[in-house]
Amino acid sequence: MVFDLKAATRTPPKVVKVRVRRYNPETGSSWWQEYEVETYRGMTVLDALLRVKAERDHSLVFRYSCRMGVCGSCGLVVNRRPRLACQTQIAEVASEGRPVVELEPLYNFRVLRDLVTDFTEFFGKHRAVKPYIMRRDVREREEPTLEYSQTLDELAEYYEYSLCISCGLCDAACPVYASDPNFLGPQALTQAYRYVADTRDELWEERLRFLDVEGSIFKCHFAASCSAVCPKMVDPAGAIQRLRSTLLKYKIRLYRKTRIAKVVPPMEKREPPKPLPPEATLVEGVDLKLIEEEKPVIPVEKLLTT
Amino acid sequence: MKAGTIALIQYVTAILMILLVSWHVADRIPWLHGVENLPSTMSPEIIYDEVERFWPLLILLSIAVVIHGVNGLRGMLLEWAGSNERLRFAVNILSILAIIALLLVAIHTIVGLPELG
Amino acid sequence: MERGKFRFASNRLGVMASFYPWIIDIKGNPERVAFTLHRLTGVILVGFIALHIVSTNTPARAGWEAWVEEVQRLSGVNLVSILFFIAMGALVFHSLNGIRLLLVELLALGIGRPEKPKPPYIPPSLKGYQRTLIYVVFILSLVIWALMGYVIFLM
Ligand code: SF4
Ligand code: FES
Repeated sequence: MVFDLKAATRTPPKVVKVRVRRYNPETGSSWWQEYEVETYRGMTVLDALLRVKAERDHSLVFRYSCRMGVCGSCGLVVNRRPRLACQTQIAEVASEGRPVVELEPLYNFRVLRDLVTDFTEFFGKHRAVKPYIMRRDVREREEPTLEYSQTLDELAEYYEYSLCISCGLCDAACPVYASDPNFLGPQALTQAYRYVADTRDELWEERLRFLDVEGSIFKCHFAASCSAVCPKMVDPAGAIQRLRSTLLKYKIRLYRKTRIAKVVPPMEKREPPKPLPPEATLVEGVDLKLIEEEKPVIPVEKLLTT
Repeated sequence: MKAGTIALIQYVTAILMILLVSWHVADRIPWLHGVENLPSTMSPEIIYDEVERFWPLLILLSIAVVIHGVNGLRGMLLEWAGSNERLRFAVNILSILAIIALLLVAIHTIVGLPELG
Repeated sequence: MERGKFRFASNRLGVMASFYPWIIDIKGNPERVAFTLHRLTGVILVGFIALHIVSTNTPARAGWEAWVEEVQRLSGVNLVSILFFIAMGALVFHSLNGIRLLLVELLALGIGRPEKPKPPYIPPSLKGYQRTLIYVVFILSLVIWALMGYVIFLM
């Protein structure tokens, strides 16, 4: 998502109308309800919802947890764009000309009540791509004796995709996910690529073969709405294109994963200390040799008392 | 067939078509034939000559076009069919039938082209 | 969907999401417009190709006189030539955008390298050169379409 970095410094309109599309599962009825909320500078959509719940209507239901864009549970649709409620400034979505904030539950998900959506299917799809490192040597993976080696360049290949917080905004924005309930969805496919690109993962062939079915990766046609709404800059669209390209190359035998991380012992030898420049003078009473050889000891009693 | 294979076919036909369709369309540019409007580029003489000389290309073009087009439509229809297995099956069968039918017509066009009278 | 006495609503946008890009707010996402147009033009073209294959069958089916008659219907401004013109526009956009999609989807080009998030948090695939190509495709297809219009209607 392209963030309005200055939004938090602007003052939103004094009073905004928060329109919520509510849903009652007991009666099955759905309706729009409007609340007027007084704002302050730096108010987020989640703050506005909390204020409504505290002061106006305690029956309003929504979900949140970390209120700082980390847990991914507060995703909803603000003014027809999927966003995180806690990460969206009122000043960003409402203006003096149109002081209205329209809130809807996430598109393409099942609505449980008001703004709360059901993520069972979403996590089922996430689970289906096996989002964990798979090794031939399962024992070593489960009870590691050594470390997997990986260079910084190899890390950079997938680091971006590992930032996903499973908020579901990308699936809510995806036009294919909207019409095809079988489509795996950008989030799951991105995670699939994240492990294909990870050098520590050994069973990449299995992953690619799993994806080579109707309704998985070839349904994507690069509308890139997922990347446009992702709050963590995960870039699902890019990941999916790379994954598809990898898979097609693999099919015509042009792709092999060449670098698989080996297990290596942890680095024990440190680099030798740099010699002091000749002009340096030591403080009186400091023994350099002693400092290097003796490990610092923190007395346990001291830890307990403080 | 595996989805990946179908996707590969879709991309390969796309590459083919970019070349063939641009040739096929460019061939209708009036100035190339020294005539003054579009319908006269399709006069029997020009068409007959073209089919005589380039019939393998034309057949290749029609194969690529029909497969690419029908398969693309099939993808959209499958999305709409969702997980209704009967509907999915029907869509798949109908696409295969459509491909065969259109290709038969296309081949008849070329094989059955009458001599210039 | 029912569970006990609760009914849960489906909130799927459905097929419309593929044909109407503004169903969600797509600021900063012209790829979505290109995607929609690609689908729309694709559907138009399948119809056109079916008609085209059947109509070029005329000489084999009914002889050259019928063919000449059929071709004459394309001259001047009438329903057939207007439909033909629309199909040609669809063809131009679909092929130019198709070249871009081949680069992006088949070869994974034009979508940048994975990078660490840093302000202003624009994902690499939205700032790669495919973004420039979208505008090139839009403008170029309009230009070629206009030329085709000249050939079809004005010559
Ligand atoms: S990829 Fe982005 S939008 Fe999608 S679930 Fe992960 S964090 Fe959310
Ligand atoms: S509440 Fe945790 S991401 Fe918004």
